[in-house]
Amino acid sequence: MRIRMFGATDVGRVRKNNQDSMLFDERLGLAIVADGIGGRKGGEVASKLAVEGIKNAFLEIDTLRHEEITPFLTVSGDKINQTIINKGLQSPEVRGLGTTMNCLLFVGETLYIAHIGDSRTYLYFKNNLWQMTLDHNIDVYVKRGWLPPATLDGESKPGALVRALGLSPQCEIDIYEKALAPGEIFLTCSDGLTSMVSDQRILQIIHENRHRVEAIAKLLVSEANRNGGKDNTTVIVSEVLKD
Amino acid sequence: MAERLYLIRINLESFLGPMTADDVRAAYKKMQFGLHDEIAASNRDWIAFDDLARLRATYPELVEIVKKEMLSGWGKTEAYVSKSDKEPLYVSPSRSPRSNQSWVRHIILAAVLALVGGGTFWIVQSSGQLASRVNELSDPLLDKANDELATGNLERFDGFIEKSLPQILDSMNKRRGAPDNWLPYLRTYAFRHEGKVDGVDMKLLRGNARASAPRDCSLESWRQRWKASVGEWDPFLKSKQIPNKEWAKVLVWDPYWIRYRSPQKGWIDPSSYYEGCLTMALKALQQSDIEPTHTERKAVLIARLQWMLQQIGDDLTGADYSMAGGLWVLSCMESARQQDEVQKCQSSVALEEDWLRLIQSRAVMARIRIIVNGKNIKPTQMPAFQQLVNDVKAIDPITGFEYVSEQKFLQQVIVNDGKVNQARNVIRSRIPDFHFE
Repeated sequence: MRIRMFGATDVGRVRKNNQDSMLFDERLGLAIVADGIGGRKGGEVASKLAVEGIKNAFLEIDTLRHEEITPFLTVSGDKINQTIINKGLQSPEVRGLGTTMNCLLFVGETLYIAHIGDSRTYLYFKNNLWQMTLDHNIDVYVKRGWLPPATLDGESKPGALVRALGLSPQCEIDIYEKALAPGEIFLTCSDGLTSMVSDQRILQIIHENRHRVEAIAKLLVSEANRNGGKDNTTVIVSEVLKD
Repeated sequence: MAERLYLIRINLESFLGPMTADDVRAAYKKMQFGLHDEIAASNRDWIAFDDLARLRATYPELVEIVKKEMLSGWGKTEAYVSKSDKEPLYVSPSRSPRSNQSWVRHIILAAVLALVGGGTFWIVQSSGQLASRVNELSDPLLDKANDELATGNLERFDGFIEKSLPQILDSMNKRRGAPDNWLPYLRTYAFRHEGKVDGVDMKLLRGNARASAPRDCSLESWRQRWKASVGEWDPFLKSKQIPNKEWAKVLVWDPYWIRYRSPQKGWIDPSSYYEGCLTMALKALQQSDIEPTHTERKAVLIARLQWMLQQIGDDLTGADYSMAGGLWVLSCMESARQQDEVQKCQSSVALEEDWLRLIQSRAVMARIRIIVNGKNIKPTQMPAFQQLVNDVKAIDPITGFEYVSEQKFLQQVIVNDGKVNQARNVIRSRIPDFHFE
């Protein structure tokens, strides 16, 4: 399989700085979106640490066998989590920093997704769209019975994150695996997109532009801004092609 | 108009599809997913196959498949499902709890599992409104399985499973939570025999063992592995190379790593997939009719497998590691109780490449185990200890086993100035089942 990647990020119409970070590298088969949280500077620092952490861990290894990928992603996530926590302890100006992370790793004919937080990965295929990752927020946890409904009675917001890098020393990253097929398009994005643009509209934009995939990321970011751009928006589009 | 496509999310770990409804039916026949897995159409909700009410509301076109192919008799099950006002059981998304090991605890675990199996009620939310629904009822078969196992008469237990297998499989297909409740018993049965149960997906039997563990540990798969690998035994045993093959990686598994993580949730005896896998590897090798020219090498491999199983079971009665090469070094270090013993083991054999890397990383763990050994670390030992902790690798280079929990614990020991109990308490507040001795 061959993968083509395109990305776009924008501060939006309301925020003063962009706390999202992204990286996409077709040669490495790596695409990462991280959405920082906490303070004006903290989120920015945390999301950069996440992206750089995965990239550096990936560059440090010579080879990665399929059976080593899940441990690699888990351990790398754990290390980044600790780095972010340590950063918060050392630097009061960024205390409370954290970040979501969605990392796509394409290896041969398989995609691995490492996911924590509420950034998302979608799969587009033949005018269909699926949200693949599960948002790690209170709303989803209550719906799935992992938290009692009473959690929502207090001051907790439904969208508050339950899991993210930097939130606690124990971080659990979801690792998904999917066999790839030509024609599939993976969309990885921060919640700046999904809070401003409906899934139906995302599907429509991808479908209308499926023959010019290079335009999709920018079009989606523009759409989020047109709808108010209340948050930073980052989008990476990865297209699976036959060799 | 294009046919509707679905994506299946398996065990929150992998995806199948996109596929048509016909493909869904075919995939189920091939046991590529189970009732607890989820399905979604484009821009629609993810719904578990066994949540028939929501499935009917969202994907009515799938209900026929589910009823016909998966839930024959579901209507009967539904008929005696009643509403419950009991508190919901909130399940933790945590993946692999661990606890201490002993046969008595196994029996208790079995009893608890049966109780959970018999009395667990789930309440699910439907269409945004909280609606309670009982999805599991007491299963007399499960109680019987537990009773048979608790008697300790394993032949009778085997007989019961064999006789009841059709009903067990039926129950697993019909009841939410049933696969999880039955798996401990089916695993016990499977790994006493062929390492598999006809009609039960190998992935279910395997559970959530590390990705580096073989996907298939049935007796037959091990027969094939041993047969195919004979030609590679010599360089392996002479510590020249560790082939990138499952048989070789299993032989260098770290028995301490497995023991610290046993028994795993859903396992009684064997206490984990790793132990079951080793048991099948040993059985297949013992039964194999390898050419006489390889008899000595076969004996060494058997000795290593027996040694690991004894270490995992913490039963060193008559434990012997009459082996050769790198396998001897590994077992020697695993048995060492003094620092100089580790050094002697390490320097007894000339090692090359993969073996050298492996032995070096295991020597670090062996030295740390000896220093910690339930005691506080003296201030004079701390610099050497810190150096060793720095050398602990997060992932074993060959087996892919992670040592992250161990790393965290050892770092806590340093932070707590060598006070091992204090460090253990800190770690257990985060990882309740952690143990390192």
